[in-house]
Amino acid sequence: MRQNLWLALILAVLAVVYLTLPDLRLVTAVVIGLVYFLYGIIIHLTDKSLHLLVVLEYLFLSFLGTAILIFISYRA
Amino acid sequence: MREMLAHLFTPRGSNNYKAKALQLSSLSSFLLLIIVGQLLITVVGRAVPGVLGIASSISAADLVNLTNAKRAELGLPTLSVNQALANAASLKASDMMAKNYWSHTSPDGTTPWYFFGASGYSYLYAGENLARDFMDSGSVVSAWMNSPTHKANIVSPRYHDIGIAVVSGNFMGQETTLVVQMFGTPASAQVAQVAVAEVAAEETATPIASVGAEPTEEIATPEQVTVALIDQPRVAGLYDRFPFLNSFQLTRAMSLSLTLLLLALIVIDAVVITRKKITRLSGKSLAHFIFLGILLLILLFVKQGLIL
Repeated sequence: MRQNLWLALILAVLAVVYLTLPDLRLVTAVVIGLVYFLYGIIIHLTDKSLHLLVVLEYLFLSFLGTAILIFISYRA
Repeated sequence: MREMLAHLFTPRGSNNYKAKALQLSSLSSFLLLIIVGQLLITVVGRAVPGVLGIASSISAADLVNLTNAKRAELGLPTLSVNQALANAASLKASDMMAKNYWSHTSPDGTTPWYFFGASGYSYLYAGENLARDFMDSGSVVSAWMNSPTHKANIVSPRYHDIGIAVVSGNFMGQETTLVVQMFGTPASAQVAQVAVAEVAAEETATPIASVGAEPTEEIATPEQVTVALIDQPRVAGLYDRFPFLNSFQLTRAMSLSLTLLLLALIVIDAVVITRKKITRLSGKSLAHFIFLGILLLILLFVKQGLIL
């Protein structure tokens, strides 16, 4: 639960950066995806539930989120 | 039909207790769908000019009024609209449209200061703000005021004159509106000041140009110049209709739909799994929910329009 709060806090800060600093949108989009992916890996490593399927699940979701943010930055 | 929907959207034995739409094959399909959608928007925008774009209500007069209102709030003198600066801004906007670039400096190395000279404005200080893809004048000025470097130009006490060009046309594959805002203080202002104040003329004679740099010194108030603003409804001419697809709104609608769908699926998945006490190998639902929730908030609050 505590780790989830940290994830929410970090992603919220990055969201504010994304929304307020248009020049940094592409970088922030990549960082948001990366933070989420690494969070997933670390959390599952610590509770010993890391598996290829879990890694791919986080990878695909972070790719999807990053792609959406990059495209919306490009169109904005 | 009902079975198929349940298979797609709820965790059950048939989908190994994970909604089919949340499995890797579906996530990769969603990713592919988003990429193909964006490619289609780009291809259509380039192949059929005039289809994609925005119809804005920006006017040069409103931009001048809003800019001067911001200066007045800080107790600064208002800027006078200058015909030569408006021409310089118009030349710059037309150059950007013709050469299809979004930058202070053109691909062939032409700086904004070239356009000041070309329109006959000999400057002591000069500055330039750019904007594109905004819907109204208020949004443009707000975006500039939220950027420290653009705000520095707007509230600089050293500028006396302003010239704005608002030009609509096909730019980088879509119908849009470009705004070029140019600030300046004529070189003659320095001469006048020195003559009146009888100051030893050791001040720099080199013109100072700014695309968002710090102001350095104040100059005497200039004379009022006849109002000269440039609103060019359309540069392209070939496409006199308004664009009917806004690529930003289209992308946002697609992204919002997908994000909301995934969020709903994750909530359904978490509820069913918890109620049935199913143990399975999967990512954390709460983490996914937080990630997609933040994505949803960004999509809801992101605004269209770029400044430079």
